[in-house]
Amino acid sequence: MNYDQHARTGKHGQASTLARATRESECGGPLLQVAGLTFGYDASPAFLGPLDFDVSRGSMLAVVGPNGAGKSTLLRLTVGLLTARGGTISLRQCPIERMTHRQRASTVAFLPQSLSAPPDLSARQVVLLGRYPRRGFRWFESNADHRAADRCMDVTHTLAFADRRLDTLSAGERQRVHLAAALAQEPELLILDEPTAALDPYYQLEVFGLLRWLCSERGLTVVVVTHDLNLAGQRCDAVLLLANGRAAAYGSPAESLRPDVLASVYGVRFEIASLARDGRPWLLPVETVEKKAR
Amino acid sequence: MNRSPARGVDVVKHVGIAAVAVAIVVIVSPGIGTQPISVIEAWRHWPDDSSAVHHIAFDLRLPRAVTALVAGATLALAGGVFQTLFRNPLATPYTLGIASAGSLGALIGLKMGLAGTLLGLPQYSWCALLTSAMVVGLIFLLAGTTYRLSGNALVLAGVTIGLFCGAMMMFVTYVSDVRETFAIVRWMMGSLEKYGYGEITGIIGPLIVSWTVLIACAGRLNQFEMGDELAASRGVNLFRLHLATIGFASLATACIVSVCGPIGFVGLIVPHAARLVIGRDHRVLLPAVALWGAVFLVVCDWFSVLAPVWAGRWTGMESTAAPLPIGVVTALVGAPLFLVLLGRSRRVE
Repeated sequence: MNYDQHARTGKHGQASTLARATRESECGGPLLQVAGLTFGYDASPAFLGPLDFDVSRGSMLAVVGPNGAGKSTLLRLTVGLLTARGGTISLRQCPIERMTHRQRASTVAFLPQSLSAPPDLSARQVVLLGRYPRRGFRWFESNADHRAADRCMDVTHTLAFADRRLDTLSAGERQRVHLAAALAQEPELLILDEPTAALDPYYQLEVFGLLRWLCSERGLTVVVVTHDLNLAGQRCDAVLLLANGRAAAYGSPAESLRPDVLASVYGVRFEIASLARDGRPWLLPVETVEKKAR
Repeated sequence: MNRSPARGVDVVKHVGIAAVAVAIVVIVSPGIGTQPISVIEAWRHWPDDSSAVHHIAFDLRLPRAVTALVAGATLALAGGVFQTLFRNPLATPYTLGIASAGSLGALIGLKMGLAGTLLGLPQYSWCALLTSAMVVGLIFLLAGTTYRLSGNALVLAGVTIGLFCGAMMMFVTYVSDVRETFAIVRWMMGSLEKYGYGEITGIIGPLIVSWTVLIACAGRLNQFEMGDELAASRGVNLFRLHLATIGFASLATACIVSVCGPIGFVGLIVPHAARLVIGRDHRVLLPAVALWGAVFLVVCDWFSVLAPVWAGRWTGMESTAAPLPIGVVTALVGAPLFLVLLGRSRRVE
């Protein structure tokens, strides 16, 4: 299946909205809630926050902003790798600091920007490592774990090279293998830090198409950091635009990705090349301007 | 290298073969030594504890083999864990300065003329254990107060401690007389010459606990190899993993150094060699590394005992030489073996 075509045709649109509404009414509220979140290293002043946002089940939030805006720090806080100075991050209305490491890992999967997997591991070994939070006290993965890993590799189109070493795969193939490993955790929330940074346009669209498909068809909730404003605008349900650790804009892509706001945050004049049917903008960076929010 | 995901059958295959090898060396050991006593003859005298053959085979040779088994398993296991934990292929059980600290303690004990025993261990071994424990405490302090001292910084701290202890050892040697200096140099070469099981019994409790904890960390170490962030996001408590592995690997190493002295090379090459053959999965690798480390050190010990005898036969002279220092033999046997394995694995790739 070509996930990008599937995402563009909008087959998921209405059905996913209905499914999301049903899931929210069943489970009572958004999956991820961030309220009054602040963070700073050691005794230095807080450089992130206060931030308030929430992410509905089965939806996809893009976190965008210039370098140093605090995007990756926000993700690390959400995964529990850093501890917030103030405010709360709740998963299913439970503050993450009250969850054990394993409980958190069963709910949230994280795909960091820099991955340092040993190059001599096979793709299948990497994906099976993602089953760790689900393995319990078993010493090895069960047949059910192997079947789950195969399913995730099937979804990410990596089954064909499952037994090849990582260092024989292209950057796009490797990224999909790591994505399969994250899916093998069977998370409710998938958090990705610039998953398309090293990929060509084909794989960028393929990865975002896959994420879109996982949201609409599998009910996965996705938070993704990206520098590609068009991918964020076209493929995500909501966009959080960060500047200096604060939310410069938050809402639907049409609301967040306004040229006037982007110019003040990035110091770049954007033009709207065209608008999709649902009002999502295609943005074109034109020239640098004076930065206001940096 | 094995690139299939590990399953129970791999434990049976890799760990089972290593366990059989351990059983074989235990059975054969009473028959290996300078005196011409065959394996069958040795075991035939097992019930007869008044005979000279029984004394040689089961009071001298077997305890020596058991000491080598325990030391080899511990050093190889600790080396394998440290190589993963510090993401450094040159890491050994002695990377954190444990061996140097233990040696300094033993040297001070020898210099002070502590020749007696306490709770089954020589008094200088207690000195070695004490100084090693102090270094482990210092490492814990560094790792605990600032968690960022977990990787290269801890290795640097360990190397610094090792250099400091090395300098202090030179000072102790400098102020010693010829007899003390000989004892010090001999201790520094490492030794497996034990009479009975007293010393090994004294340290086996902490060693069993350490082996268990280190092997139990295998699944977490697999995750740790994927990177700190990924491992933590999958539920691995990195702080606890560091404390458990550094603490118990150091404790076990300190115990071995206090009894056998610093025996090098086992903790470096056995994990590498096993990784080349078995693969990266620590759930299979660590138990196999411990067992192959045990076998490796026993075989090296046989070589250290038999080499002077063979040399005497080849030269036509009756040899009365003492066994070769074990540290010399581990390097002599291990280096070529490892280079052959390395070359073979590169060809396969």
